[in-house]
Amino acid sequence: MLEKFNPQEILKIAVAVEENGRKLYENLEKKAKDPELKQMWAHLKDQEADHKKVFEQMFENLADYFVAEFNPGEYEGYLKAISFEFVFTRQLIEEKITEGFSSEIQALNFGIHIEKKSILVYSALRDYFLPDKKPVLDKVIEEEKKHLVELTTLKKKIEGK
Amino acid sequence: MPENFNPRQMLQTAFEAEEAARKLHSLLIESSQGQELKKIWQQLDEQSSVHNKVFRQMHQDATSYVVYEIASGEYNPYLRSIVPEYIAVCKNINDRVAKPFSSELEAVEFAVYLEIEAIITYSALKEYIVPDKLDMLNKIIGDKKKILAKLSVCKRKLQKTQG
Repeated sequence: MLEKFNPQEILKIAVAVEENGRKLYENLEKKAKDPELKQMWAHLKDQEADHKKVFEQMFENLADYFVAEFNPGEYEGYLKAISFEFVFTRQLIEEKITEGFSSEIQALNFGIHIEKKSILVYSALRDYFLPDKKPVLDKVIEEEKKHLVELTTLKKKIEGK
Repeated sequence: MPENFNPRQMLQTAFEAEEAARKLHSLLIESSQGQELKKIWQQLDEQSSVHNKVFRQMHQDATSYVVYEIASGEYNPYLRSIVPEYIAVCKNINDRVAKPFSSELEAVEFAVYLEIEAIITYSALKEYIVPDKLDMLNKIIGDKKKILAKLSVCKRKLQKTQG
């Protein structure tokens, strides 16, 4: 468990979440019968692999990305809380990779859950990025938002069938 | 689900969610055994009451608060995806009012989920609020972040004792 908010630790969790997300989406892609769903899982799988590389690059070059002094002030507790939740998300994905889902809707809801947590954590991390490096993280956040849109759109479509 | 979504509908969902949360908090205040947790539920209840009033005010006087779209369908698809998700959260709160929690840990986990959903949704709404009124929404998001921190500490404690 994270005792103190530390961007380095968050990046480590982000790498693990993206890697687990990739594995999960790969499983879902293999099992999907609906071509549209299969295509979406494949797309999400590829993007999570890209995001993992981005976070690995950040982790290896911390000083190039983060401000030197981390001072979350009154929001330190919040950052710890969402980091803790993100660790939990990583564990939950691991479980789902093994267990699988009982329906497509359940899988889509879980995908929505992962994307939301990622948006929340990466948005919080953004405050500690050097101004000229913020666009790198913004691109990842925007892609996670698009994933959420894709997942909710498909969920709505399946629910309407 | 609103097909022709606009931020005013989001404000309505927000005050309805805060109102539903108040009902849940009242039940949790009554049933809570520990003083620490009771205090958190009371604080959440007070916050929801204030947030409900702010969102109602914003909703009633939407032209003063909301940046309206120029052309139909211009609003960000992300916000349009978030709204039905938050409507579902609202429904989940009402369901939980009818069905009590089996443990304090379950109640705290649900409260953590609610705060996270609110932070995500209200953060998405920020883009559609006129700049000089943003402080009001930022204050609500700040309140949510601080209470989430307290809930998270509580959750970890309960996981150690009950988990």
